[in-house]
Amino acid sequence: MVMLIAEDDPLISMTLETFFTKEGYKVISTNNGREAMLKIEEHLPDIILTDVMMPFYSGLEIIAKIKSGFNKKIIVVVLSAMGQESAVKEAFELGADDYVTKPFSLAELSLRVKRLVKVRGRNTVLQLDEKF
Amino acid sequence: MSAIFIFSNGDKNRFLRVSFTLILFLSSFSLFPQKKSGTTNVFPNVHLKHIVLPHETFTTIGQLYGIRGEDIAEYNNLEYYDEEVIPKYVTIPLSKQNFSKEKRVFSNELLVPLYYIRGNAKTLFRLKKNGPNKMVRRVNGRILLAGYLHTTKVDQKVFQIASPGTPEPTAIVGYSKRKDTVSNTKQKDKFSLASNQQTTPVATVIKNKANFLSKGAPLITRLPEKKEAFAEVIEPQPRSVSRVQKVLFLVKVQLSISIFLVALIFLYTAIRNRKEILNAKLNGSIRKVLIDEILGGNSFSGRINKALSTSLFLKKQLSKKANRQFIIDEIINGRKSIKGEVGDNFLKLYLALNLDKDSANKLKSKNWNNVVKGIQELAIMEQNHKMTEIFREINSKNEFIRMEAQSALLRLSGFGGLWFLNVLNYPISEWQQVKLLSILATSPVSDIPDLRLLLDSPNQSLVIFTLKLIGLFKQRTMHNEVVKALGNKSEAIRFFAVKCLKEIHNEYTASVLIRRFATETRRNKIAIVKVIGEIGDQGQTDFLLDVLSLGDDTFRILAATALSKQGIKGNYLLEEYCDKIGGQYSEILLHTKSAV
Amino acid sequence: MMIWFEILAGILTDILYFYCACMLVFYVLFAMISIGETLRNYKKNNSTDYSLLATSEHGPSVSIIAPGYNEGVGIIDNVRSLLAMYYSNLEIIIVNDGSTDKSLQKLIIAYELYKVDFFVEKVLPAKQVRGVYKSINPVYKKLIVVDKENGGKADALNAAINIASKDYIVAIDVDCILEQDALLKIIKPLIDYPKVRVIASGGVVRIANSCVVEDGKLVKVNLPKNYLARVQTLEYLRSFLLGRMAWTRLNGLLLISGAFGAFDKEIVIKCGGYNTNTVGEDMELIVRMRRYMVEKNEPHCVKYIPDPLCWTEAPSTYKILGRQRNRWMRGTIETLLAHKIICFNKRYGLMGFVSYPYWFFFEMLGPAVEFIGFIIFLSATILGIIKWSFFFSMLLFMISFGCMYSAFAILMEVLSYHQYKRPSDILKLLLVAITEPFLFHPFMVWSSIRGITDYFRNKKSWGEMTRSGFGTDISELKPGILNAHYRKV
Repeated sequence: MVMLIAEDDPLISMTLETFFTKEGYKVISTNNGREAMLKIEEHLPDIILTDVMMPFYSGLEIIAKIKSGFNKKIIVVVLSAMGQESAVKEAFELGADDYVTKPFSLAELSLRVKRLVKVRGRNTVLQLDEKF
Repeated sequence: MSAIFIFSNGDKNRFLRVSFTLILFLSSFSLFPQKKSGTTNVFPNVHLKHIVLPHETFTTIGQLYGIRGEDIAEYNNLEYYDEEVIPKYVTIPLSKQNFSKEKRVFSNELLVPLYYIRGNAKTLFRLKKNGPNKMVRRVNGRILLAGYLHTTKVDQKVFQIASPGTPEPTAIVGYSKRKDTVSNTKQKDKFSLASNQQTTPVATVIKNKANFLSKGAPLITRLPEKKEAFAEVIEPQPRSVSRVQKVLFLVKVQLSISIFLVALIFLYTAIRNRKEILNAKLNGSIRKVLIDEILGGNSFSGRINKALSTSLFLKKQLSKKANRQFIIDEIINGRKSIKGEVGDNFLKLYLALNLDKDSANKLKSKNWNNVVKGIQELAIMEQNHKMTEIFREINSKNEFIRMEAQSALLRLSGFGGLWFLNVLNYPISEWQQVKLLSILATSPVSDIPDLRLLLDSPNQSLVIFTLKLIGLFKQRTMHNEVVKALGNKSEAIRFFAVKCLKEIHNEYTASVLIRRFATETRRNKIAIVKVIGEIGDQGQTDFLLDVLSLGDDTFRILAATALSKQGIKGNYLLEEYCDKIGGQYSEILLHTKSAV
Repeated sequence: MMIWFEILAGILTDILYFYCACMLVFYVLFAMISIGETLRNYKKNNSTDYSLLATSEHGPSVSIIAPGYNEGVGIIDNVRSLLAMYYSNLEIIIVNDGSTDKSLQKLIIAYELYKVDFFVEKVLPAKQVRGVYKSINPVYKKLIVVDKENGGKADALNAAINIASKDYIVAIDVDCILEQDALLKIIKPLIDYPKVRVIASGGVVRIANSCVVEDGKLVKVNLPKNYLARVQTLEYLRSFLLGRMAWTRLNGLLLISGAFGAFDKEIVIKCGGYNTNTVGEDMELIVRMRRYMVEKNEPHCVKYIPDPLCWTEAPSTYKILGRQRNRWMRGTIETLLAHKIICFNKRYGLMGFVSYPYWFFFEMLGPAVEFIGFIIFLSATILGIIKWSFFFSMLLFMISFGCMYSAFAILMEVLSYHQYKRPSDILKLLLVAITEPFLFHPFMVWSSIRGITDYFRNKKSWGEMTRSGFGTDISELKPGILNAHYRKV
């Protein structure tokens, strides 16, 4: 599983990277929206963990890009300090798969990601079945 | 982009200030045209200094120096009076009448040779104490004969009479007695000088800078002189230096300051660059180690000591103050963003590294900036035992400390911490309100203390904050109190009361607001229409139609938008009205529709 | 005859001395106050978590208004960087002021815009709005693009204010490059003072020539390679680090740069918005707002933050620079003369007794006095009244003072924000400080004097000139530096 992390705070970014590497993901870490956009195209990750407020491109633009055609199968989880309803709604409307508010628990985040992967896997299988 | 100052101590700052003040002084003074100095002084840079003895008048002093008393007074910018001279000393001009460079004597005159020494006045002064002989050896400057003082009268008391080789100590002592300021040791000096007079007259000269010598003046052979402390030649004064030289001097000063500044610039550039490069490397490594510690494993607390002993790197970094702060900042940052077990590990690490001591020490700092930082750190790291210390600052005179203490209180005790509002003496800035609200929004829900009394507070910002709290946490039981606030004198309070009512509205709210509408200010009217749009039911359509017919675009748009939110009836009425009137109204209708 | 002339020359030189002395005293005092204020601000910054405004819904709401004329080249990237700004309660209004290039079409394509039915309230007078555009894509829902008939910068700003729905407005030049947290920092002072109403706040403007800009973001700071731009870098450093902060401290600020400033919308509307009949609309607005507050007897202030928040392209040819300075001077004269009631008026307090006179005597008359003073001095020297040695020593004095002041500004920069890291860059800046009095300064004085003469010559035909607005001489200008006509310092 390739996971891309887009987070501009170096400590959080590194913590996520270390944590998920230990969990067995192949992690690509980026520090801003532009770098994330480039790496997404380059590495085609399965999962994206993204902050909302980042230089160049906001996390929302990343979601929009992924979900409006680039590759809808990529799981996008938003990590944001904004907990208000409107912000969460906005992210989900754009197609985010999950929204986690800071401060977040790493264990919980990991479980959420696993669940999403599982669900997505099932869907993919279903889709494949439909094709054949 | 965070700014970094190296102004950790105020010294450099003060230095710059001082140097600038200096320049300020120099430049402003020099620019004004100068007064011309001196009048009849033939020997412009030199005059004698006479220390005034009791009972001396200008006239008597004048007689000593062969000059009129009036001249002395004028030369010293004093008014002439025929009584005791008040200043402690006067300067004696050397003019044609009383001074000549040649040894030319009239029969009734006495000649006193004057000497002066080029060199540093300070050096001279210091050497003076060391006795005559030493001085001659040590003075660098050359001794020059400046000329001769012509005088008609030698005051026997002042010009000590000492026959060659036979000093008269009594006379000297007697005279010294009259001069209170002369100390004991000095008396001895004088005594020895007087006795050495014949053999080493030069020494005396040096000692006084200017002296009256018996030897050089044939007519006063009986005048071995004892003028020591009475007269001195003043070194050339800068006052007659030309303007050009003055300006050039300032230019030199400025250029040397510039050069100094340039040196500082390069020094600091180098220091900061070095620091930045080092920090960039180091910070990365520190972060790595921190994360390793945090994510290390399950039996964290048991492992921490071992980890610390092995992790020499972290230990080494902890010894430096700047790195310590960096580690604290990173841990705080982590704690703020990550919760759960890993988040708790940040806290454990903070304690294990004794960083809480650092934070606690900051509270004692004199620098408000540090106190604020300390409070912040302790609050985020939930150091509850420091609560009392922090809460003492709730009404601190320093606004920053005060605000941070308030935030800390809410962070540590949630809604319960709101008690501080009852004892608050200062207004709460809007920024602080935002901060407090956002802290409360993340704290666990519990009962909000009774805010009723706060609404009557004379502190306007406090009332507004209370209204915001009521609105945000939907304290519906407070409805009546908020309605009462609608009658407050302050426009701003009424404005927030309207906004607050939107959140806690009940079936009466809309009609209360409508009743208020007519007497409100424009800003509040706008707020009322907006709120009616949000909370209204179909009963308010008449009111909104009235507003729609006002001759003001802002209200028309607001009313139209509000109507469009009143269900089918509202929309129908709006469309009907707009179609009927047409023109601008159809545009407004379109606007409303596209916004929805 | 000669005696009279001598006396006259004497008096004149005395006045000049006095003038210089006052100016130097002002400079030095201001430098000292600025340092204190900058330090205080630094301390405050140190313990402030600005991200609060970015995440909290309770923060003040902000409309960014950015007028642009023929900015087609960089507009997509610039808007993108605005969209990525950290702020929660935000709308971004881009005004296309009747551009003749394809900027509107470019925006429509890039941001999936469509025309909405929008009823524009005429709160402030402005030219006809042709259309208001919003994006279909919810990611860009903050964005509003306004297409209007050309009317100049002030008119475009007024049109944007008519459309703005938030409580505060932040006026910027489209071609400016903002720091990521610029909005947070400029908004905070507006809500930080419970006892006074902060009607406006401004940030430091820096020069972006030769800096590396990618996707509308500043990636690397470089010292401009062009000499003129480099001199302006130094000039901006001096003005912002050693002057502006002192005015904040004294609450006597009369100018917030048009390139980046935040305003209380209510007050702006109440005092009638931007004045379209002046070239110095940014200064005029602040002065008018302050007057309004004084007349309403409300305690108020204008704040300034020393952090470099906004980067802009500076004119790099003598021609454009001369025109810019010319305009600034005219704007200053217009503003000061329009509000001459402030001068030494008790009611306006410090603004009447310090700010206004300072602007009047040093900013407005400064170049003229310098020019005339130089001529008097020179002629007096030629006539033999003053010695050549004195003439040159005075000249040397002024130059060395300038160098010292510049060196001090550079030191402050190194100590505070340290944007130019390479020692060679610092050395270049220092060299500029030495050459400036001979090359750049006379030119600046000359441009300002041209501005003064232009003001008196063209007083009547003014309106027409403004109407041609941004694009007085588009054909010669590179896109992106058009707004350089407007005051940035």
